[in-house]
Amino acid sequence: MQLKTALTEISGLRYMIDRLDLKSSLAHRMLLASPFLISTKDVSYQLQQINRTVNEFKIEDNKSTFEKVSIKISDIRDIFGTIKNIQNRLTLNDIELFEVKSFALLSEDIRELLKPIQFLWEQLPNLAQVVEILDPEGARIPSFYISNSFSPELGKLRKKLFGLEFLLEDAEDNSASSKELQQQSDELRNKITEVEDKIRQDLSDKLYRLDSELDKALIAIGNIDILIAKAKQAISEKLVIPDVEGDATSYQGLFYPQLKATLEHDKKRYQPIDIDIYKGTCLITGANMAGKTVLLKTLALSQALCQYGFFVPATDAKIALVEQILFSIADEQSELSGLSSYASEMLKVNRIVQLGKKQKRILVLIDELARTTNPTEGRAIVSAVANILDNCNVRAVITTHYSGLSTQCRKLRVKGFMENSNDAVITIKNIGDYIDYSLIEDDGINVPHEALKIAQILGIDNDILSEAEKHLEMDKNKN
Amino acid sequence: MPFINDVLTFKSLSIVGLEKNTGKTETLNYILGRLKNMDTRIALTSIGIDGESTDIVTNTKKPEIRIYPGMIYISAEQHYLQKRIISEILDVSKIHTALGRLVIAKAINSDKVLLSGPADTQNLKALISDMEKFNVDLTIVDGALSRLSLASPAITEGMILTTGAAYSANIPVLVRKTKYVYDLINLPEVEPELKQKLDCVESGIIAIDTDNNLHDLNIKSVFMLKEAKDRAFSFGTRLFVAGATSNYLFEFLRMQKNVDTIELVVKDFSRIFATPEVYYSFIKKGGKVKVVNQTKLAAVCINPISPQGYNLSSDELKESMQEALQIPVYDVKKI
Repeated sequence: MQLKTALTEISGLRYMIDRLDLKSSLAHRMLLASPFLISTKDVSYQLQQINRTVNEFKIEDNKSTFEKVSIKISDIRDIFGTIKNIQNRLTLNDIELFEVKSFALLSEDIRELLKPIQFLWEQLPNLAQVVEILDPEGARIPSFYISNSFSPELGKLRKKLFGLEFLLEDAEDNSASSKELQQQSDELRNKITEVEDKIRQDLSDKLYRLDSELDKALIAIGNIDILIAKAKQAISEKLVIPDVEGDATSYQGLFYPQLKATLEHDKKRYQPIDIDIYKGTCLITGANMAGKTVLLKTLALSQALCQYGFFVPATDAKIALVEQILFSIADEQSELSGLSSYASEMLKVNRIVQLGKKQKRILVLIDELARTTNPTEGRAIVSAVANILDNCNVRAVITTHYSGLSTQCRKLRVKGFMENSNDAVITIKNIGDYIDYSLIEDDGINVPHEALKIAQILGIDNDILSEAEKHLEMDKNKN
Repeated sequence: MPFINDVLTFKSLSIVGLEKNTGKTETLNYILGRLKNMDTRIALTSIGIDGESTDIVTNTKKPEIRIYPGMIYISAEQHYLQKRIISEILDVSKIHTALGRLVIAKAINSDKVLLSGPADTQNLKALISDMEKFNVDLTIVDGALSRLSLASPAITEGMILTTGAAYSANIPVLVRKTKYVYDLINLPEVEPELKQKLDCVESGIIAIDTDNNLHDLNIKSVFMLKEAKDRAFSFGTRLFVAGATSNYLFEFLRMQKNVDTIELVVKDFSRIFATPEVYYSFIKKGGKVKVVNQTKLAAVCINPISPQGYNLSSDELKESMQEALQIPVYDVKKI
């Protein structure tokens, strides 16, 4: 799956991509086409490239170098189409030749600037030959026309034409001499066009021999633009390089960048999470508003960022690479397909389980499985799915509100309301300050019963609350 | 050499015709012919496509634009590849038009060219300021059919107005219609202090009190003025309208009891879309109009010949026009 598609599926990913400070449309095009990497070698290479760039940024002298390179890159045009034309042995027109020339000059400038940063410098091929072909005068100015220096014959013909035109201007309209001059001039123009076309053809042929260098340079510049942007983002958003060599997924201080930024902007507390995800199933329980959905979204985002070659939002991260990220998260709508929310969820879960049974390496994230059906059967479905996935090659995280599940898989619980929260005046605005979002290992026998407390904080009609309390009492007495 | 020295004082100049075939292109060719030997770097562009060898609207022969070595011109990609002139590509703009991107090129020899340019004023403005990269001293914009908005001082510093038989074949009518545009162009500017304040207001209707303080009236459009009449004049009788001003506004203001104390301020003359009758009846009752930015008019040029075949007397037209406008007027075919 290309990053372009993932953007529409994984929440929070667009936020990260939109905030990348890319300088060229070339880099933008390349970035959106980046593939989901599944081999450790590929991911490591990408991450190491960013890491080296981040390290280079730490050297004071390099800052101005990066700035100068960025300015040059912002002038780069995506000449992908023109290079294609060269490869297909088409004759380039003046505008295309101009594009190639100005690209080659810029590329040479960038290469020169990058000298102190060896590993980036190495990626850019030398385009001096291209410059030489298109700049016979050696002026090194990014402008182009079929000048006389490409052919001495052209100079002579043009000189002759200018002379004729001069005479033509003085000749009387429609006179015999004027007609003759006009005819001569037209013939001369045709001859000149022929010579010019020959030169364009020669130039295109010469460039054909250098097409792979041009192609390499274009890709390298796009990559350098992307690398610089990723490194800058890693520094400013405090992202970390994940360790992808091992078979563990473990985060310290994991956060969801968009939410963190919003809360920090409102001067509110944001609590990063520590979590280890082992092979098999992990059930997560917790009160409403305890951040379970955000946790799942963060896990999906972080895995995706890593495998598209980005640093991840955490203070420390180990990530076991997967072949696919599959999720079923509550806020997706399925009205268009004509299925009920239960039906569409079940179909999604079915696909997950089928892939799991094929022993695919997958990260599975399911939010409140079977929440839209009756609790008795819902509980049974959760237990069943949890048990099956527990024996597959997947890492599955499933959130639920059901208690008393008959599954032996691992269970975590969001701590929920802090101990001192009973004395405080909690409102919808400050509720975040009184919830401890950290995760603890749990037996899963009792799930938190804080739905009514939260409903009260939300300012729900008192009749609902007192009526619900009554029913709770009745249930208790029945048991 | 009439008005060339005035032209040279601007960094950008638009040539606007009140109608097609009023001599825009002849005026441009005249200016270029005069500037060719001067030490001034010229760039040429247009709004939309221009420079066709025949006028597609009226199918009459239209003079092409002749440029000279060293001049910079803007042309659409498709036109550029069909050019006759020998010219050097300096840049290819990211602005797209129906005929491809815009090519910025420098003439090597002298020949006729097809000018192009951005189709909207925003990009035109950006293009003009981009010309600095190429050390251009003066950018000339060839205007399209009755596009007064490009003569807005927000886009070009100065303008040349062309008018002629194509606009009206009746000399008194032609003079009257031209005089109206001329009057708008010459509207006085507000005082510098107020100018500075109003320069950054881009929308809305603002009341200006006697101490030059601005009060946003929170009226979305001039059509809501009637309902908010009591508020409109609560800070005095000076109003600034950032957007277009139409007959509706001028009629509304004229009908107020205190019309003789009302002063309407607009961004520049190109924002006035009222008809002459409505505009003048507001002025006659004592209303005043000022602009934040005044346009500098370099010249008024006339073309006594219209494509319908009317051939007015050049001298008679010139004299009546000069008498009405009180400035020199030029027949481009005779200068």
